[in-house]
Amino acid sequence: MRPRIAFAFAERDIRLAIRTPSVYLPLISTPVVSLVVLPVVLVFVTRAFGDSALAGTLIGWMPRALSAQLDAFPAADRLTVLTLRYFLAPLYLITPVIVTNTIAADGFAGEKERKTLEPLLHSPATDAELLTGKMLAAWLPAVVVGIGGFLAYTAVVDILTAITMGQLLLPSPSWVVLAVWTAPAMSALALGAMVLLSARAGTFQGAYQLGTIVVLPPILLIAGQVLGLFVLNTLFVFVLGAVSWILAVGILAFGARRITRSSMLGLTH
Amino acid sequence: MTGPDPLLVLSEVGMRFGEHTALEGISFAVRPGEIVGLLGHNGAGKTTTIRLCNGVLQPSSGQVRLFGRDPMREGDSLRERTGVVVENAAVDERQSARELLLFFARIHDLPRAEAEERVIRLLGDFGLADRADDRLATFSRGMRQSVALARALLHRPELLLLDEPTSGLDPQAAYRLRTMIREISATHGGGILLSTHDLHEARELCDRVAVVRRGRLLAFAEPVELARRWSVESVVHVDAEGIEPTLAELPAGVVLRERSGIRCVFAVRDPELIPELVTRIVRAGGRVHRVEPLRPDLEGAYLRLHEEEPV
Repeated sequence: MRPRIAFAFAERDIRLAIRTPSVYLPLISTPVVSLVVLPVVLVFVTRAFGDSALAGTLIGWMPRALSAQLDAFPAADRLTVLTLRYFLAPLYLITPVIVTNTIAADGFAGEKERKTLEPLLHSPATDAELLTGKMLAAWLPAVVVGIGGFLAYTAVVDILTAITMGQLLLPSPSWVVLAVWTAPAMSALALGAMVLLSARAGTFQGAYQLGTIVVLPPILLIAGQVLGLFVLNTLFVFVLGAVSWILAVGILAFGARRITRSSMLGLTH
Repeated sequence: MTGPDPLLVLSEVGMRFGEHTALEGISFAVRPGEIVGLLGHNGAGKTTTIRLCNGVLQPSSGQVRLFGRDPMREGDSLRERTGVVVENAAVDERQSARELLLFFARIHDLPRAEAEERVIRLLGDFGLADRADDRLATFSRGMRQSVALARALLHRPELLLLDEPTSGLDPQAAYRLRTMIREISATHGGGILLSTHDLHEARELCDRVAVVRRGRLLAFAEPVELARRWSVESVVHVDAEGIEPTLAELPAGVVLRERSGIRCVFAVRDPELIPELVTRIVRAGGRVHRVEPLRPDLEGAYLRLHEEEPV
């Protein structure tokens, strides 16, 4: 495989994606809402209810390991810390997953829908170069947006908590692992799902909608944490990333073996 | 007689998709310097044939040889030597013409400076130099088709595979594109496989024509030979006045195809019927100004081939 050819495909797909409103709007709105607007709102809400009985009850549900960490903060700050440092962590994962989902849907199913795939299949690029290029196009922006989102979130949270609590909450070790290890893994997992699903979807919208299934794991993580089933501490986040990487590599390898020029055209023998 | 090795040879090629037989027993060849037409209705299997030729699909039976090699095994290197225009141009409207061509130049591993020089020259050749940086969304269908042809020519291929390149174009754009194809054939010296459902185009451009219907090859020969062998009808143009009584009672084997003013176009089963037709017009009081029998043509052959083939 010639990496320069794969990168040529990746560069093309990324350039085209950022020119398409149905692709770039979710890429901008998702991180802005979940990593900037939401924390600002939540800081004010949690500060307002920090001393309430409801906050006490919620913190009481948390596993002992977590509540022990919260004990280090004044009672009025605990709900804010719990929300910004732990509850929003799975929500952060949705951003890179959505980026991957959107660009992959455009690069695979969207290309088929626009009927612009065929000239690529008649080119001298190998199946591996074409496929790798399209995968990189969906994955690399997710990593960049994920890390950029993490930095933006850290800045927003620290500014707000410095003003309201007099201290900086981030970056914590678990958030660093989340941003550089787990989020790229979850994006790769979402990519694997999209590679398999795009073969079944004939349109960008169809693939995009099918692909929303990939936000299910982060939502389950949110629910599990709120119910006190587990805590996204550094070890948990690291293991989650490792499992995601293993699954992603398996699915991508399986998907890549199934994909040929004829299957990309939607034709089978 | 031996000539240069064919660029492309299909031998008894078949293609099935599940239960559906898309192609069966297709055999023809494209030699250097010639334009071979793949002539058939929509759905005849022309696009599938082009995909098989370039190793995009694997035939279910038979053999494809591209430059003497198997395009399924060595497609990546063989596709360096082919240029393809797929149906409906298939250019991404979000790109400019220059961007699209430079991207394909990268895929063909052309050095950047050389690629830029070729792109500028090709866009100039196709009269698109001043639109090089405009988005393809703003291009007419004919202009997009020209960009697609430029894309196919970018890496100087030895064999061009053109899938209905003039389909859907207005007559002027189609004429311009046909002129380009003829010029390309005369200057680039390689071969061209031209899929079309346009008889006029096939007759005008092609050295040999493969007629396909429902995935089966009906005939493969030069257009003149096809017409001679298959066209049982002769066509005769008759310029005459007072012809109405004769039209009401034409001799058996004579059919009126068209009428415009005093010009009538008749299809006659046997050229021997032409004197009888003229005699009838005169006896019925008509005045005949001119009678012009035409040679058997590809159109007649094509229609005859399709009539003979069971549906």
